[in-house]
Amino acid sequence: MAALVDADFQAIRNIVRSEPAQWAAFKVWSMSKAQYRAAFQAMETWFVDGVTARPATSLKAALEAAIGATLTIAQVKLIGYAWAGWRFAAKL
Amino acid sequence: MTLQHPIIGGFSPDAGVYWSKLSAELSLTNAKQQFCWVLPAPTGADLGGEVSFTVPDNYSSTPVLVLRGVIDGTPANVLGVGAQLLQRDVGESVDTAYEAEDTASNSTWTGYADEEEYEIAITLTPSAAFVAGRTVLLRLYRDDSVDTQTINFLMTNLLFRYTEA
Repeated sequence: MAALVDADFQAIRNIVRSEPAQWAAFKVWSMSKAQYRAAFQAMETWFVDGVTARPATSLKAALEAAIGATLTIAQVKLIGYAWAGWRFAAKL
Repeated sequence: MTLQHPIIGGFSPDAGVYWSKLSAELSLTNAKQQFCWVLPAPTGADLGGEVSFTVPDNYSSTPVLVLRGVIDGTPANVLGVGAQLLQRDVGESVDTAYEAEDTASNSTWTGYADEEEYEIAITLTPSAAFVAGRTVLLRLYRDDSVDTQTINFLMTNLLFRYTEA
């Protein structure tokens, strides 16, 4: 399981920041820094683990467990799309 | 009497801090093109910039650093800021470490919202009292060990507040 580092979290944030509609949605969220890191780490873990084994829970459930709060579908998508944008640009 | 004057001229940003315009950062119905320094939430290290100013001739006591700007998002969690300073007289080397930091934070956002003007003040505690006419080299930043926000702070002014002689 790849552990994301500070530079990764900053890069993900810059990806979200570059899309005005996504940034606007992110800004009204009131997520804390700890929740933000837990969310994207959980997203990374869920995907990487899911490559070879069926995930035990849905992505929404995994993110909610990591963040400690209930998420809307739109928020789950925001995390997923931001992570994907970062992964595609940074790691390919 | 308490006075304050701007010291933001010549602000030198850290990597990751950048200048912008309010309308480029906010989704404003009523456009505002004022200049701002974007201070993103820190993600692993303190993030801010450095500036220098001259202690005013009528300075007496109670130095305070004031950050003014606009909140860029729904405020929540903790905004933490810090400042380190070094007072230098003519003939003193700038190759000296900054003094220990002074900090301030806020976690109560009742009455505040996205796109609103906001101010946070840091009480400065120089090791030697400020002397009129001397240069103060100052580093200010969002404090990574305290700040738990994820939103940007758009700094539009930096003020030195003090009690006059």
